[in-house]
Amino acid sequence: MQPSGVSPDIQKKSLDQLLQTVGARKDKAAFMTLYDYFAPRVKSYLLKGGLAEDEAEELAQETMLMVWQKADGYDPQIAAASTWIFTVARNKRTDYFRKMGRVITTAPEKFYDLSSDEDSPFESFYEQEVNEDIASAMKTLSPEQVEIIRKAYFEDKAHSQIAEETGLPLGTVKSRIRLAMDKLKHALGKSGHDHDQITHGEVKG
Amino acid sequence: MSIERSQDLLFEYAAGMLDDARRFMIDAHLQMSEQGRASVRVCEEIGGYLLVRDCDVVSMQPSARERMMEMIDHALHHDAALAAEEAQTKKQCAQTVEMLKMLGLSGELVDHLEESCRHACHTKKWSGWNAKIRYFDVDTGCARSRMRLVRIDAGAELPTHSHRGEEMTLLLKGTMRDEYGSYGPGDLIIRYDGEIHTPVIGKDEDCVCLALTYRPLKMRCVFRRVINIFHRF
Repeated sequence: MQPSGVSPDIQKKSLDQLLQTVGARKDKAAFMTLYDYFAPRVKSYLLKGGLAEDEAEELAQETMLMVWQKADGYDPQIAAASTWIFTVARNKRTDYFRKMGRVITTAPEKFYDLSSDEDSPFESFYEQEVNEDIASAMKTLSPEQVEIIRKAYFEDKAHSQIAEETGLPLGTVKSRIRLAMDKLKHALGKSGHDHDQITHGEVKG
Repeated sequence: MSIERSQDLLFEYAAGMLDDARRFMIDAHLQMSEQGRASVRVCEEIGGYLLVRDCDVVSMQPSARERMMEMIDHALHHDAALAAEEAQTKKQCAQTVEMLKMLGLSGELVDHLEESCRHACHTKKWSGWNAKIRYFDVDTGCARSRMRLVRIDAGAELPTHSHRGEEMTLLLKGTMRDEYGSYGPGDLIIRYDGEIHTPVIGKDEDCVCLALTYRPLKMRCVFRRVINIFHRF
């Protein structure tokens, strides 16, 4: 699924490099390449969060504008471009919900089409730019675990709302998310010593 | 149980599930905790992964691309406006920041709190339950919660209390211990419904912490009930 209207030489650049270029030089061509790639995905993310078409469109634009304005703060050493843009979109969504006085939304049902996972309509030209460790870690999860993680990220929902929808007790939802995250961290080699400094009920500074 | 609490919160933070008040606390904690930042980063990477791999691509409206190009042209000239807006925010939060600086807190955290105050943060003068404990309310914009910046004298012992609902405490300065452990700056302490503890402040230094509660605390000791009148968090 290639972004439209992008010249081939720009396509060769990684998303991270493009974002870095935008940050360093306010490079419009680089930015528009990122825009073509990310704006439809950000819009999709926002739609899944329960926003209406117009709202999602507008907020996707605002998200990308913020990417433009704040790109100089992007550090590829710290995060992939996709991660960074995800956080920008997430914060925009939070701000928007606050402005609307909305705490929890009801999201449409159509997004849990797990069957599409395998033959992947989502495979993208930039596939190699996704953190491969994350990608392979995600493959260790069961479809149910992937679904519950998706629900958590895409929908503006507290665990209690997920519990209500899935018919699972709250504790079960929490522990399922926890299990999935532990599995991911384990697959990423980040379990174990992560926990050493954490004692009863606290995160050590 | 313990690890799960904090990891749950950091996950919910990354996924964008937390209310303003909890997010404020986690933001502040992350400023002080490298380990916390690492945990959140993993969760955010998963968000980025989902955005790229698992979001179906929705068409933007036909005019969107052109409008975007206009917007960035426009934005080039409006960096100054953005800067002015930021200056305004700084001014609004100056009082909080002054207090934090007076407490000798680090510049980075102060800057961060300033940023976090963007949406809703006005302060009142310091109030006190007694000479040893002073506080002021931080407005988080969440009606259900109460956040306070609390300063407690070195060596003080707080009344034994249990909790109805959740209490999060971020230690900013000084040390503290209770039945469950010992804590230093940057530590996030989470207490749930029904847990009883007696915090004692380290002798060397006054303690400053941010405390977020969702319901009034319940004093356990009858003789200390009177303190409860002043101690409503």
